[in-house]
Amino acid sequence: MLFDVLETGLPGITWGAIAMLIGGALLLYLGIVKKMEPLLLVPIGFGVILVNMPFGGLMDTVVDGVLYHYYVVGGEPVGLLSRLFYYGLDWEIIPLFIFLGLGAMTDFGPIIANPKTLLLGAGAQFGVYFAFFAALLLGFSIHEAASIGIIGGADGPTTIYLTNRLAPTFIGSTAVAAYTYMALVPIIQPPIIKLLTSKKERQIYMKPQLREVSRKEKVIFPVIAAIIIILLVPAAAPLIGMFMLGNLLRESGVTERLADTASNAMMNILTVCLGLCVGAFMTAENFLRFESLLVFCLGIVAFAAATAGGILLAKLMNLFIKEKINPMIGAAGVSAVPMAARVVQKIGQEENPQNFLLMQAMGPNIAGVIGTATAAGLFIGMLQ
Amino acid sequence: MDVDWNQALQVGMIGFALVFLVLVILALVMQFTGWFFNKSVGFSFKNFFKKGEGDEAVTDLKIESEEEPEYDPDLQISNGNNQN
Repeated sequence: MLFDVLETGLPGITWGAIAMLIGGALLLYLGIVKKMEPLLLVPIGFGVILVNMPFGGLMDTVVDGVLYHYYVVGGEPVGLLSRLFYYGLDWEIIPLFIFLGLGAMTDFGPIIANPKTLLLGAGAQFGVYFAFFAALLLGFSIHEAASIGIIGGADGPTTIYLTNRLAPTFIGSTAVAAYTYMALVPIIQPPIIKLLTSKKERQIYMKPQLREVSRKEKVIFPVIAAIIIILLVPAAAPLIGMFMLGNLLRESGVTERLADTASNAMMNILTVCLGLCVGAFMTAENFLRFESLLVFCLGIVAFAAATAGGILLAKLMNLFIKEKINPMIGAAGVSAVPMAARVVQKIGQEENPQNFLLMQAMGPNIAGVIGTATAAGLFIGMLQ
Repeated sequence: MDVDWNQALQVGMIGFALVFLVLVILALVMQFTGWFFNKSVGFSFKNFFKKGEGDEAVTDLKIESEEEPEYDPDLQISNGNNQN
């Protein structure tokens, strides 16, 4: 107590809070100095610091008349960030509107030009299910295992959306794991690619340019895709619906203002809110658990298995098709748009300077987003 | 924690198979749509599985010369941040 009138935060500092402050500083370091996913890691890191300052009250929640200085699922939010978390994430508004923005930023041209690449996006979902079973073997509940498995999809909003639905207490660890590993794609993927492919396979030449896709096809794709996927997997409707709506705004040619807002201003606002919310959930009480460490370990297993799944499916497809595809593009089936495609392009160039695989890899890359959203919808549909 | 392995196997195996099924159906529909909008070459399932690039089966873009179009590495992808 300062001069008997002001309560400072100093008496409230705990070892857990200090550990989390260091963790928050580390995320800021990775974002600002190492430039790893700075748009997410900076607000997340600062959110972690804010919420672990004692008596700040940003994440306060009231349960049965008792005030908690961290977020309690089902409680009444009374702090700035706990309210943002409640209405933004508990109500699932932020991740879904981010999907709208993602749709407005995505060009489906590579998929439309070469629909086979959708299969590679499906192959990479192997990582999701591999990690799902691995998490079950380690003792997680089936809902928690699904939330951990979806990290392998390398899609932040989908991970947050699914975790919030199935295992809300894991939202901090799964979100940070997903975004951290997405930033580490250039480090995680190359050794796996090289392990699973021969030099000759990595040198397989593919035409750099895909066929020209007409505007009609681009306009009709989001409508058809939404109808087919939602019809087959109704629980994927929120994710796929918003994603495809965003893309329709972009491609229709008559809603440029809306597409521009969705992909820029709205996306930026939501990114700040999402980052703060995820960081704010990471109080010492919520985050410093052995399970969080396991989630991080399983997350990288999911990523590696997803990369492997895409590559192996591409190799399998090569057994049946006449004009071979470079199996490396299967690795881009983990969403992480466009980082995973860039990794494939870079290795492809190193192995064969004539090869420009970027546009070929963008197909599986975007298919990975659709595949992960579908897998999330299936988990929700089967488990809720 | 006790795990209902029957349920887990159903969720895992059927789920993975359904992801494939959904995307295969979408791929076939898009191949058909591509054919519909680009009638120059007829659609066939044989083409879908036999052709490597998938684009030749539905393309209306005839490249006149043997040389391939110049590749623009900055095409459509502008920055290094992940979108998602």
